[in-house]
Parts: sequence; C-alpha cells; structure tokens
Amino acid sequence: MKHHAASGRVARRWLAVPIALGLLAAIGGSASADSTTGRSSANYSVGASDTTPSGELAEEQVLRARLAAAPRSLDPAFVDRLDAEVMAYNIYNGLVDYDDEGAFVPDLAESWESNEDLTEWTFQLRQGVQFHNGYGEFTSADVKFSYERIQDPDIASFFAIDFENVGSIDTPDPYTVVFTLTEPDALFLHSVAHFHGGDIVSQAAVEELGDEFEASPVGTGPFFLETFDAGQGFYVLERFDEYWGEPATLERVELTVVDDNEAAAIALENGEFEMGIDITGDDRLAQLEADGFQMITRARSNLITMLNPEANPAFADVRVRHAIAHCIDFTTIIEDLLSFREARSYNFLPPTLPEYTDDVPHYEYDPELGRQLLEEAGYADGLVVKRLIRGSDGVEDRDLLEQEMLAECGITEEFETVEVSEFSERRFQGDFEIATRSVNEPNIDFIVTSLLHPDQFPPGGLNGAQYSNPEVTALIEEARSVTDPDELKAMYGEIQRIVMEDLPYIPENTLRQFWPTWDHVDVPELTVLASMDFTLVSIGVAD
Amino acid sequence: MLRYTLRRLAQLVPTVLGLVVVVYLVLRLAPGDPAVSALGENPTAESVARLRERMGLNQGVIPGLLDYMGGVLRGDLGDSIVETRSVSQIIGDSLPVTIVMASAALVLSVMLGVVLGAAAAYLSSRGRDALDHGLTGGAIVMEATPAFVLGLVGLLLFVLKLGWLPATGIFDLVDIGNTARRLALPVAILTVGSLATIARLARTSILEVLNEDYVRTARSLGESPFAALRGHALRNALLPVMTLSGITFGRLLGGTVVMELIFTLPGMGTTLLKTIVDRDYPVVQGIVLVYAILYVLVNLITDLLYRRADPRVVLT
Repeated sequence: MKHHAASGRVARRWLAVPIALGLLAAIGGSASADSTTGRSSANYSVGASDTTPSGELAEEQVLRARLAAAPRSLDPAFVDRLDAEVMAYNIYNGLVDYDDEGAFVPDLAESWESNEDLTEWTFQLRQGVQFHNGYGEFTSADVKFSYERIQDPDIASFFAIDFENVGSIDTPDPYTVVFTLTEPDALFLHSVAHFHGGDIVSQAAVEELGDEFEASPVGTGPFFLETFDAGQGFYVLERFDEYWGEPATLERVELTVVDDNEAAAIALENGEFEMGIDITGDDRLAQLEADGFQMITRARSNLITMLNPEANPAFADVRVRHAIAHCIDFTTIIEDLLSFREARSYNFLPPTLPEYTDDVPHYEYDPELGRQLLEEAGYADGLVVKRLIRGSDGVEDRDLLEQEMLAECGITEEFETVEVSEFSERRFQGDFEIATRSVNEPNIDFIVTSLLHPDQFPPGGLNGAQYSNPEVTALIEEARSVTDPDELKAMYGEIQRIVMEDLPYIPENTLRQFWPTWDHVDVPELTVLASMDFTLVSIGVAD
Repeated sequence: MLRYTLRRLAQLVPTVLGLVVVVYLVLRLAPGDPAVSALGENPTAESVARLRERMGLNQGVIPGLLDYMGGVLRGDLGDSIVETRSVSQIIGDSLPVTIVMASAALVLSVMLGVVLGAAAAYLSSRGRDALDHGLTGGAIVMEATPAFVLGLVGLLLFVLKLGWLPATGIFDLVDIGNTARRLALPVAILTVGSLATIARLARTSILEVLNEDYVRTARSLGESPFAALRGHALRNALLPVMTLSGITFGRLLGGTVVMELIFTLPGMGTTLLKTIVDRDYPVVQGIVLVYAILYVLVNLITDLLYRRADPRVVLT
C-alpha cells in the first residue's frame, strides 16, 4: 500500500506536468498490486506498515537518519541551524539544561546560586566528567575558556551578545565558577544553558585543533563525532563509553544530508533511514502518517508578520494594524492549507516559552470590523501595501488567500519576490513594508528586547516594526532584575498583553517540526528546543 | 597541431580570468550579504559586523578582486566563508560526481545515438522507414519530457517498486558497484535526453552521405550496402556528431543539477546553487572557474578530434 501512496504523493507534487501523469499512474497501480506481497530486498527493505514493535532490542543499535541540510560548523560558537543543533545537542553539555517545560535543570553544573541583585552567579560543577577523545577531565577552566572564547571579538561568535553583560569569569577551584555581571540578569541561565553558545568545549582540544575544531568537536556529551564528511553530507556520532550520565543504547547514529523532502520521504519509506529529521510538506507528512510512521513532533517557532510604519505610514495607526488582523482568516488558512505543520497562534511569542500566556487579545476573522477600522483610520477608499516575499518560498497559496481576504476589506496587497539572500538583507536593513520573521529563541529577554526595544530599530536591530512603547521598554528593562519567578512571569505576561493590544507584529502561526520515524524505533519526545536526545533512542526488532 | 593546441591553451588564460573578474564583480555588486544570510533569523548589527570581519568581507571590492586574482594565479582558490572546507576541497569533493555523470551520459548517448541513427538511416535508405519514424517520434517525446519527470518516475519504479536501487547513500568512486547503483538512473536519464538529438543528427548526416556519388560508386563496384555504410558513410557522417558532442557535454554539465537534486548526489551543480544562495563568494567563483575551464577544454578537444577525423580541416 505504501508504494501506491508514495506514487500518489509524488504525482500530486508534479501534477502540472501532464506527461508524467500517465506514467506515474501506471507505475503506482502496478506498485500497489505488488506491495501486497511485501517486497523485501536485502538492502532496501519493507515499509513501516509492515513492521510491528516486538519490544526486543535489535542486535545492531545503529540509527540512520536524514538531515535536511549540512551542518556548517559544530563549534558551539557558530552552531546555528537545526542540523547542527541536533548533533551539538548530543556532543556537548551546558552548565544547565532545559526540561520538557523549559525550566532549568542541572547539566554540567550540579547546583548554582546568584546573589540578591542577580549580578553574581556561582556554579558548582560535576566532578569526574571526561571529554571525548582523551582530552581529559572537564574543569572550571574549560568553562571560563568556553565563554571567554564566545566573548572574544576575534572569534566573532554568533552568540557573543548572550555574554555581553558578563564582566568576569572566575575559577576559585576546579569545580567552581563565578560569573560577575555588569548588570542584573534574572535570565542569565539561558546564556549558559545547553544550546548554542552555552555549550562547553575542551580548552585543550580547541587549542590543539584550531580552526579544525569546527569539524572535529570535542565535548562531554553522550556521543562523540566519528565522521564529518561535508563532501558526502555524511556524519556519524558514536556512543561515548565514558559519558558521565546514563549511557546511550544506540551505538551509532548515521546522519545523511538529503536536501529534497520528496527524496527523503522515499528513502525513509524505502528503509534507507529509520528517521527523517524535519520532513516538511503537509501532503507528504499525512502520507507518512497513513503509512504507519510515528510522527514525532514539537512546536518549534512562531511566524510573525512585521508591519513597518517607516515604509508605509498607514501602519503607524493601530486601527490599521487591527484591521489587517481582523481581515485575514488565519484559522481557515491553516485548516485548509497547513493543518499538519502549523497551528493557529494568537501571540507573537511561541507557546514553548515558559513565560508564554494566552491571556492576550485575540483577533478573530471579522472583515466587517476590519473595514470599519480602516474607515475610521481614514482609509475608506482603500489602502495599498507591499509584502516582501522570500524567493525560495515564492508566492504560496497562503499568500494568495491572504491577498484575497485583504482585498475584501479594501486593502490591495502587492507582492515583491526577491532572492533569499536579498530578502535577509532587506529585512536586516528594514527595507520592507510587510515581511515575516520566525521567532524561536528560548530566552524571552532576547526576544522581547530585540523585537520591542527602541534601541533595536533596523538597520542592525530586529525590531522590524519599529515599535516603541515606553511602558513596554520599562517593563523589559525592569524584568532583568526581578528575582521572584511569579513576579517575572507576571511582568512578561503584561508585556505580551500590551504588545498584542498595540499589535506591531501580527502572529501568523506556530510551526511544528516533524520527525517521521519507523515504528520499530523507540523514540522520546523532542526536547523543548525541538532537538532529540539520542540517549533515549533504541532500535527494536522489525518483524 | 601542437602549436595550435598551445595557442588555444594560452587563450584559455585571459578567457578564464576575464570570466573570474566578471563573476567576482557581479557577485559583489548583487544585493545580499553572506553574513546576514548566515545568521538566519537573528542577525544583529554586532553579530553581522563580527561575522563580516571573520569572513574577510570588509575589504573593498577592488583590493578583494586583486587579492583573489593573485590567489588564483598561485593556484589558491581560498576558503569557503560559510563552511569549514577550502574551495579546492569543495570542488575536489563535488567535481568527480558531475564529471563521471556527464561523461558517462555523453559516451552512452554518442554510442547509442550513432548506432540508432545509422540503423535508421540504413533502413530508410533500403525503403524500410519504421525505425526511422520511431526514432524521430521517440526523439520528439524524449526532448519534450523534462528530466525531473523522468527522474521521479525512475525513483518510483526502480527505488520504490522494484527496490533495485537506493534513493540516497554515499557516493564512493572507488566502490564501482556503489557508483554504478547510485549513477545508473541519473546517467540513463541524461543519456535518454541527449541520445535523441544525437541519433537524429547521425541519421540525417548518414542519409546525406549515403546519397553521395562516391558511396554510389562504391556500391556499383560491388560493395555491400552495409560495407558502404561502415567503410565510407559513417566516418564522414560523424563529423557533425562530433561537433554536437562538444556542445552536448557542456549541456550535460549543466543538466546534472536536476539529477543531483533528485538523486541526492553531491555534485558541483547543487553545490553551486547552494553557495549562490549563501553568497559564499569564493566557492561560487571557484566553481565557475572550473566550469569555464571545462567548457574551453572540451571545445578544444572537439576541434582537435575534428581535425583528426577530417584531414581537410586546417587548424589555424
């Protein structure tokens, strides 16, 4: 059955090519008939629906997974996308980690405390933790080295901003680290958490390997990097037997880059992979689910629409912003077009953040109200707006639907499609009227500061809506020195309520990530940052 | 001929360097910043400035160009500004896939094209037009069918239905079996695309030659039709095929991109596309340089072979 389904899936994608249809239908039909006999070749075996979990572990604990893109660097100073994040998550540790709810839990630090005004943070480290490849025991010197390296302008780490407020790092003994900050920071733990620049590297390894460290990382995590073959797009993680935590069941994780999602889905169905990391496409995912694959999923980010009043003065009027939100039926768009991967969002923050609240104004579809608001704002005769679109995505069905919905309210939306790199550059420079941005950081202070603080206007800042509200600015700055978690959450809740009332950013949706996996593989949920802890994965016997 | 070859090789230098300058300037003047692209959703002024410094982008366009040209003349194509490999490594990793794929498709399409064209011409000259019509019709269908359609049909049939071939996997030239399995489908599809054109041209040329006086004379002297075809018509008729082969190889080098994408082969085409999007200037420049050298060399080889096949041709 799966063969037939896969054929249909591909056919749907290329329906525009009439000549393909007959051929595909013919192949699909015959494949369907054949699949009832259960094809099984030695190398490229049976489909997921042909297997059942037996509960027994397979002799060979090797997980083969698809990566959507090649990791550019495995140095924590530059780990930036999902592909590298997944590998880094299993190679390194931070001082602290996130639990499933996004709360901090110990990692390489067993305990920590801060002084009253949140300017001094002291961490007690685990003892006896070993680095990979014989680089010796992890100590406070490695912590100091790792974070000072991120701060070093010569390194040009992407995450230097996370350590901007760190004045000094002291190591009174091998298992104690003290950070002295230049200003209070209630959320400092995000900077030293197991993610991006918070991961700890071996000083000895970095000094010995130099630039090669990017492709030969040395951490303290449950797996070490055995192969980094950028030419083939092939990477292997091997179990680290001296790992300080619970040892992994998997002996080896083989990751292969397959850019094309269709090819990745076919390879997954064909048994070339047990797991497809971040496979996209609603039809494709629905088919994989129907074929019996486990759909490992987690919300990863929020997509927001930025309205830039510098480029279109109409956006300076809150009534226009509200009108746009009321004129677009996001619920219908998501249900009709994107139900698999996306969910309706009413907040500019992703729901994965512990500080997230749903207690914010909701803008339901109400074109009548939208038209009325536009009229009150002086745009009864209509309004012309221009949306900047990323060339790799092109004008999608959702864009056309939004355009149509806005037209019903009297808003003419024009599209300007530009190549990916130009899109990023124009967005960075603030050279757009309407553009989208994905919000997926774990640190709420980073998000609200970069999106809402007046110091962060473009060019150079991420406040693309050029939003400035003194009340919000004060709350953002004040929150950094609040020690009481409830008070902190209340302050961030207040920020969300005010911002969603002002609506500089219109939430489009929450994007979920999918990792379809064969059913004989025992897999945990994705982490709060949509990565995977491979120590919790095991391969069962496929029947 | 040696003098001619050396002169053509010497001409290669200004041609390629001119191209490098043009590509360098076009890339630098095009909108888009590699540092902003690399930083994804969260580029801040400070991180962009730091990364630009690290990528060596703060140099002016002209000093950068002079530096780059100096490097090229010393045989140093520089390092990728986005990933960990040097440009030479990236080209070394991806070039074999593209060259093997394009060469195999060229050899197969020329061999099969000439045989099919000759058979069609021969049978047509004997008044049996079925193969001739079939070939012409087939050629039109093949030329009109996009390679990606054939690629996907191939994936469905040979990967999903029959399970004979893998959709993904390591490409290792040393492992002949692996290389054959990974390249069988893309090479077949590329061959089919070029085969039709070559076969049609071969057929027309051979038919023309078969009607020449000297062939008729040979036939009247008692040579069999097949011997006349093999001994007289084929060699003369192959000259235009030879010219077309040079052009076809160039086209195949570009045509491998679609196959690389569909069959996840780590070739130069997909690398070029990715690096253009990332604005990885040194890699784009390096790959364009290699493409340019390949094109020029293939044209030179075609000219030399032409001269060898037809002594009347004078190379000046």
